[in-house]
Amino acid sequence: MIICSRLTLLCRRREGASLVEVTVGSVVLFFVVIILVDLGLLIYGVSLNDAVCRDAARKSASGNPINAEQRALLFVDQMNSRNSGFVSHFRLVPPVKAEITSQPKLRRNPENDQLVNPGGLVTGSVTVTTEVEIKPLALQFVLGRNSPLRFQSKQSFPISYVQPPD
Amino acid sequence: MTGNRQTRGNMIFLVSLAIGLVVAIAVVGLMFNRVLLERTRAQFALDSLALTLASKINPGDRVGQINGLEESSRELVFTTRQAVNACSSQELEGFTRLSNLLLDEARSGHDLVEKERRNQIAIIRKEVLEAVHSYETKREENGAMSFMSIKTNDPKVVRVDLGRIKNVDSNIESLDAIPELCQFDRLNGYVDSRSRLFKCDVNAKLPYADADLYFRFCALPAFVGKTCSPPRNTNFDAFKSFGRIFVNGVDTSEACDDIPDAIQITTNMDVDMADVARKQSSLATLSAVSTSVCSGAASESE
Repeated sequence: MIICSRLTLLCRRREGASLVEVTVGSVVLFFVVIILVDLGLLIYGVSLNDAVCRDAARKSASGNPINAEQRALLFVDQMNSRNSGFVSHFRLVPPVKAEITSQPKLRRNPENDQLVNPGGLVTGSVTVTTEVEIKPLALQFVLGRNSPLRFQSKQSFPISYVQPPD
Repeated sequence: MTGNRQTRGNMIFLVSLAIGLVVAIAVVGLMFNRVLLERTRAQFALDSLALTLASKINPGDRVGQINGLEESSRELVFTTRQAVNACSSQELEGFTRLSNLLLDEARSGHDLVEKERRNQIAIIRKEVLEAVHSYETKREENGAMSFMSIKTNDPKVVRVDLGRIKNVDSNIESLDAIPELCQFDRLNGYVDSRSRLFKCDVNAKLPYADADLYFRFCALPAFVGKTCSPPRNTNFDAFKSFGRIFVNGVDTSEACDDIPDAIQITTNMDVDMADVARKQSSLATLSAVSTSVCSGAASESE
């Protein structure tokens, strides 16, 4: 009787130990997975913001540099309306810098002695900065719901514009 | 005792293994993702460089102006030849000498235009190469960027080609001011029948005695309406190379016969993995190609 009861106790201990190990391991695994999901989400958000910034820089550099910011803003708005979920709050960080290195010089018209724009190639670059807010699953509880993580991206692209003549 | 050794700690081991496996898969995934991101970044940097270099080809519409000079010179030679022929057929000896003099001037004028055309090819080549070398110097100064044990450099330029965009003719329109010349051009296929623009891949020879002169128009997007085509990135399939001017950090001596209107750049970007012992091992070499076309003809050259 004594031997039998000891064996039963031993078996119960083993089963219980395995159960505890699985439970503890599952909890650890769960947190590891959650952290990896969060990390993936952050990387996805940052790369998406990079892509939005690059495309916004391309769009704003194609055309008259005066309207560069409007074009970038329009593009960022379009991207915000397309994306949804955790990564959707792209924001254009003003100002959109248009650095012009050369542009057509005004010429004096000999007939009426007035300055006229002969038109020509405008060169330089446009620099756009965008920001994204990311709300990770687990970090949201740590940081608080009203404090999402913010990431910025800054990209430049050469101006592609030929000024029309007057 | 044996039974205890087999069962105790098995779950801990399995769970640890599962965690390790998940983490390892995640790390591999993140590294792969990073390589893909670097590829996108390299393509963007390359597009930016190609567009900057393409903008250097036709500033101030110099290519369009050379095309305009070619056409004017061609018309001048043709009309002075007509004058010479008319004088000799009508036996106007006094005018024959004068018309011959004008013809010689027109022909020597064409030599000047041809020299200037060659000069422009050399200038464009020089300016593009200077810009490429400047980029390479900056790239070496910037050094490598390291993140998540992956080390990347800016894309390294391995090849630069000058050329033109297929199916784009010159910016010069055939005018009806000299009907004989206009008809001759159409019969010989020098002019596109629909757009009436001179084709760029032909030697638009003049008839008879002036067939020895070399008239070559460069491809350039024409000024249409009030619109001048801006420089832009384009599909690499649309590019036709005239010559390779830069290969693996060395300027080549390959000759270009025509003034280019487009540029194609090929780059390589090494992605290295820095291990714990600070030794690097090459993970991947990302290759990218970008093609850009220069700005089109301005209104003046039309």
